[in-house]
Amino acid sequence: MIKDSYQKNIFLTLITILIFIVIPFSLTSIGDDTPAQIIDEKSVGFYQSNTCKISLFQVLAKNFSNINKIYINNNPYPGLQCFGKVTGLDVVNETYILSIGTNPNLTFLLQIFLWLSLLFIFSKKRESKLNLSFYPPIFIPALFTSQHYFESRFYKNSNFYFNENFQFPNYYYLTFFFGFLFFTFLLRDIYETRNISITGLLPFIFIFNGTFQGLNINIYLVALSYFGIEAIFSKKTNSIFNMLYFIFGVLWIFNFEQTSNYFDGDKLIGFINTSENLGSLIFWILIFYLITNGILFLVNAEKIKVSLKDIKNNFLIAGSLVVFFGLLGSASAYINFFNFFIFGQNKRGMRDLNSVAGNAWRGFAPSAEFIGEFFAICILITAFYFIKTRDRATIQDLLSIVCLFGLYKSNNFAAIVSLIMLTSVIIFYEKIKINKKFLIAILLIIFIITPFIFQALDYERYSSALVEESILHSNLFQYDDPFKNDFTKKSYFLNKDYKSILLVDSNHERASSTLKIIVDLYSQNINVPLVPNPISVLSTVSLFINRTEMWGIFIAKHNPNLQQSLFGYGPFQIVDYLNGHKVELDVPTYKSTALFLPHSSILDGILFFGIIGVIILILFYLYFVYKKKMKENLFLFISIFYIINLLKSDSILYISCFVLFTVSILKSFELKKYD
Amino acid sequence: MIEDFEKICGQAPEGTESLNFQASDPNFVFENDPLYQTVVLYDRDGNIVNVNSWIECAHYVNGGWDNINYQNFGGDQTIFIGLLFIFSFYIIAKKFIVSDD
Repeated sequence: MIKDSYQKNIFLTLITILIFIVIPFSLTSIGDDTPAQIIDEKSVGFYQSNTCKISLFQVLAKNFSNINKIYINNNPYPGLQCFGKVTGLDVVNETYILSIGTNPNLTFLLQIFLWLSLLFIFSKKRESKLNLSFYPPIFIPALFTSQHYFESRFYKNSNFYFNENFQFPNYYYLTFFFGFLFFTFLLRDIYETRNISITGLLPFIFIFNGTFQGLNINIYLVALSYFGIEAIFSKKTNSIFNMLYFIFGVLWIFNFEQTSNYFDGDKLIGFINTSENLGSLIFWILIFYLITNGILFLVNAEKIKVSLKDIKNNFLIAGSLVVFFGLLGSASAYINFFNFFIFGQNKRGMRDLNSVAGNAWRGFAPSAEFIGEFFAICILITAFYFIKTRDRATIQDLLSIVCLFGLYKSNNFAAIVSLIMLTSVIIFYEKIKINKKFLIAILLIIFIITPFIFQALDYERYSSALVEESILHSNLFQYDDPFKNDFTKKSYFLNKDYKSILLVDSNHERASSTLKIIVDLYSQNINVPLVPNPISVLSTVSLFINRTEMWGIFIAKHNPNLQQSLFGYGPFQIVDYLNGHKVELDVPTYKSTALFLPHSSILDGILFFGIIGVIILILFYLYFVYKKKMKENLFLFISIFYIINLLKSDSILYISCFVLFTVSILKSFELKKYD
Repeated sequence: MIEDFEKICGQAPEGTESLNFQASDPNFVFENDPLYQTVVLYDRDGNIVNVNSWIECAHYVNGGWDNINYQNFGGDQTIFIGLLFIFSFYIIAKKFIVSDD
């Protein structure tokens, strides 16, 4: 029976792949028999003159043994007649770049059907049918279609059919409206009749990233928003969270200043705002509220208990698939292209096995640091399982070697260290009863000995590194020669005369508000023995974890007013941080247009929710630690792992990490429902 | 191949055996052929050009122009109608064909 079911699933998967992948990329225009040619110098003109006629599979069939270096670019802009067909061929640095049309109107529908079909195929039938309300289908289509209007600059550039005029019939808006409506019907039907557990699905959101190609939206946002609306109408939300979020929402809206700044999304696509207008701000405020409630709803509604063994196996399978498809994508341009479509990647997988900047290989994922954390979690879960159950290893556990390989290639040192540390804690957990008193004692010891550790270091040098890095990256002094700018700044470093830099040459007007505060805090004259300056501590820590440059850039760029620094810009609002304030990036030319994120989820939190928002989140967590019983379960260790690593990584900006982290926090405590 | 251009531009003049497309010269002016029926060509953005000789037509086609105006293709309408059809079929199938147990 199990074998029959397995074979049936494989057969259905193959049919799904045939219908939603092979056929769309094989079709040619009726009556057109233009044959594909071998891709080389001689055929460049041919492909440029015969656009929208030759399908990708025709090219694949003709070029199967072509040894030339080929990269297949997805070109979302052209219309339906070019879908799945060659729209151009160029040669750049001995690489042939073949562009294939992937119009988002059609890609959106194909991806919905593909992912929901796979969800249906690989989930079991529910014993008794659930009944969900009809409220979400009323709101979801309008909400997500409105995003196309508010982020029109993004959609204008990525879709030939984009039409922002509200004239009937606007087929662009109608397609997405009815597409989202259809999605809500399908999701509802699948959730009501199939055994879907958020715990069971968690690892697979790292392989199926879910970003719609050509759109700035992710399928998990739509699905979680669906359940968020369900939670609101069934009154299954937390009143304190509602009240606080409402207050913050009002503050964000009233403090908002519209600009023409724009961010194309880059590797954060699908989970970030690309524009800076009131409509897009309100949209993302609503989305964050809905997805948070959606996660809470799904965690509390979960009746299916997923065993520890199944969790372990699912994570190992997902981790291995990430490595496997990453390697395949590096080896084959065609698989690299289809990975992007099938899995909804944020960023194309790497084209080869060479590491970025000489050390980290991100493979399938948008970020090596992010995926390194995931691989470490897969190993952590495996270790937790064997320590707790003392079970024998099976063949499936060999997949941990694949995950270890992925962790090694990602070169995430912090993830490796925290993995070893937490595994040791798990081993000793049962021998030494670790309770709250024990934790508090450890924290007190760390707090007491830290000043003495700092005194033993070359504290004088470490303490100013962050301030100096911030100044070097700030747009101060306006000499034509960048070397002269740099030299002039450094001349003030000898005497640590940072305040004077801001007073000369109108630098005070060009410095960010954050830099001014940092310099003030560092330069203040209050000196309490054994109590280090907070900026000095931060600077020393940043050096140890190799974050001085990145945090220095953050300080140089972050230029909020008082209200923005206290309450943030709003969830997913990063445009002002990225483009609002001019800085001087002392990096090679090819990196000058790269994406400079804060490199700390705490700093991301400060951007979105402000200092007060982050303090409230930390206080809530500490309240739960103090008041609520902690479950001595796997999720406690996953949440601690993430808390350690997110201090120095931006992984919270990826939806898979956000969901796993939030679920882990919720499952770490014995909370009364909607507590 | 000459045949590829003939599909759009019509029959090639007698004696045309091969085509040699020179590098683009913005000052070059094609000579009108009074016997050639004007052909309208479009690029991907819907820009229009009227060509008055076979050789001029061949040059434009070589540069990616076509006699189909893709702007009038209505691909977004096609996708929408297809979606409506599938959606309606799903609703009907669910209501009348699939049982509830």
